[in-house]
Amino acid sequence: MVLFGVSILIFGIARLIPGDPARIALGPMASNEQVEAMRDRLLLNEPITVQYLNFIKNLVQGDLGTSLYTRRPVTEDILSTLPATFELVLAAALIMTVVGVPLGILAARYRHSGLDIAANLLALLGVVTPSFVWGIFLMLLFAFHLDILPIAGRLSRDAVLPPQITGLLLVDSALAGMWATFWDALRHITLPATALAMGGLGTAARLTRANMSEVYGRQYIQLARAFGYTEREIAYRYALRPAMVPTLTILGLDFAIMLGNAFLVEKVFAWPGMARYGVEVIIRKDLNGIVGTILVISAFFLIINMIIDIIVAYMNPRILYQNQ
Amino acid sequence: MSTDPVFSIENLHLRIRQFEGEAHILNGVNLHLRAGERVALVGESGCGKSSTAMMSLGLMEARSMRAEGRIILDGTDLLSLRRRGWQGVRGRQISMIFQDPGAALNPVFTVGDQLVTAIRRGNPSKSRSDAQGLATDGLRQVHINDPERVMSSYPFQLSGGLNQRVLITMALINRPKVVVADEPGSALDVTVQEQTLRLMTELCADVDAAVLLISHNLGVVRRFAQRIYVMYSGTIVEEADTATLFSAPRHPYTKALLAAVPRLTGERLPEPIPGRVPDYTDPPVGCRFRPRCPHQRSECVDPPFAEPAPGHRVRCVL
Repeated sequence: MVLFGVSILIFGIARLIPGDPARIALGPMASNEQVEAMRDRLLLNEPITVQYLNFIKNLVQGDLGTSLYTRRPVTEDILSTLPATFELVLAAALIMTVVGVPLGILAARYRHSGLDIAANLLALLGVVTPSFVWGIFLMLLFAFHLDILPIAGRLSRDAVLPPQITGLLLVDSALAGMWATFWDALRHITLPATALAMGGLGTAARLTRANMSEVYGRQYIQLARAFGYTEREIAYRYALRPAMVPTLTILGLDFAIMLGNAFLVEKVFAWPGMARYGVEVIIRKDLNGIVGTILVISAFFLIINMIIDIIVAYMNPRILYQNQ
Repeated sequence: MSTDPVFSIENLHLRIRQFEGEAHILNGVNLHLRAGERVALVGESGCGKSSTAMMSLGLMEARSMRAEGRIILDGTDLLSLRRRGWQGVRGRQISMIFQDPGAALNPVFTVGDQLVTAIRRGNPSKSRSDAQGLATDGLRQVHINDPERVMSSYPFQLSGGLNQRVLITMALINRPKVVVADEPGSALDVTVQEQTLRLMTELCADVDAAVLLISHNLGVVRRFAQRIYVMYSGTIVEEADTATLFSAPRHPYTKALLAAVPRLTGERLPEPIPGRVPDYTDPPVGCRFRPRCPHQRSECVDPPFAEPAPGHRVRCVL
């Protein structure tokens, strides 16, 4: 339902971008007849409703049209680049959660300590600095000056490719037991994923700290103390779960925002993901490419939010039982 | 009943440094509980009774706070305990019944889960199923007919009265020597509050636990307590057994409190106490009630405790 709305919106907006897609695709040397012929072929001379209905007809058959830029089917283009982006975003989300949330917990437990201030500072830096700046900074520090991590790309040139199962290199190489490739892929993904995660990491830490602090003020935490629970038990068992309920919802949004930021980070690290494709199709006004790319991202966004909603319902029994 | 107190607070002072200056919250509190005794601590809002309760379990949390005096439970001075020591005492030897049952139970865990955790905190050797059985029995003791359903429910699925009974069970399940009850049931309607007090009396007698009831409600206190401490502005101003306190109050503040209780017979309107609780950062010297007292005179500067009858002590020159 939501995807349907998104498709109309994107379809309309893509056609509002100035410039004639056929002229851009054919170049300045093409004759007016050639351009006209292409416009006819692309149905661009038809009313927009006809164009849209035709698009939907093809979409339900799994066909997103042909890209004017690569001259290949858009579905093929997206399928070949999506796994790389997906892997990058997943890794970043993992870093964001695994580092950001515990950072927030510690900051809440040791409020006003040096650690709290340091976490706060890092979180602020993470939020205010765009991810591509983090990318360049990390690249300079770890790949150039310290030279301990590869500077760009997804794998070394001489790495052996694992058999493609999921398209995620880390998963595929682990499944195939190719640990050398796994290690190489891990080294390559570290910097871009970290750069991408920094913004969300800051939000995650600050949100967790705020929600944990709020829960710490509740009477049931005092009750837990009055019954002799250790501070560690209180933090990780009794305070974290109620605190994670509002935090998770926002993290889901952050996860989706990463998809947008991934475009820039991929550019910085020459990551062979959807970024290059997505930017090129917009510059070239490749209508099918734009609509296809954005539709895939929207679908991704919806799935992530659905998963988050399920986790939140599990974490907060009140939601589960209200619907009964 | 032994006469040796199982729990006593001796000359407890609590100061908290604030922006406005140092607040002297508790100014030499002395009280004691004998085994199995039901004692009440009464006073108006902001008199320090809740601070006393919090201090008894080491739950007072404030930066730049300073406590002096002794809180003795069964021979150990709780004030000298470090964090780990406290964890061994809380929930096992001293526990607490909270005021608002809706807020005191964790909303994301089932009641059974929380009871079992409380039990196993007290007896780490107990198995989960043993603890579960114990929790079920505990709930039956507070007259819950279907303990299994209550155990598997989340607090927000139960009524306030049921949650309150769960809290009572939780507080007494490890057979503590002392239970501090901070205005239990005052967030609920009067019938449930009545029931709460009855259950507390019953269960505390069963496990021979002493209760310190914190309340501002003299009606509640009269029915529940055997002995009463009246607190004003961080000091105990009068202590006596319940009958004596109600029939022959000595301190002007106690008298004023009693006069302020509305009566059903309605012969006369309750009389409010003029003035307000003093500023804790700059309290009056000597008797802190002096500015509001109708009988103030020059000797009030540092009144000693008078003992008009055994067990009846009053801090006033009158």
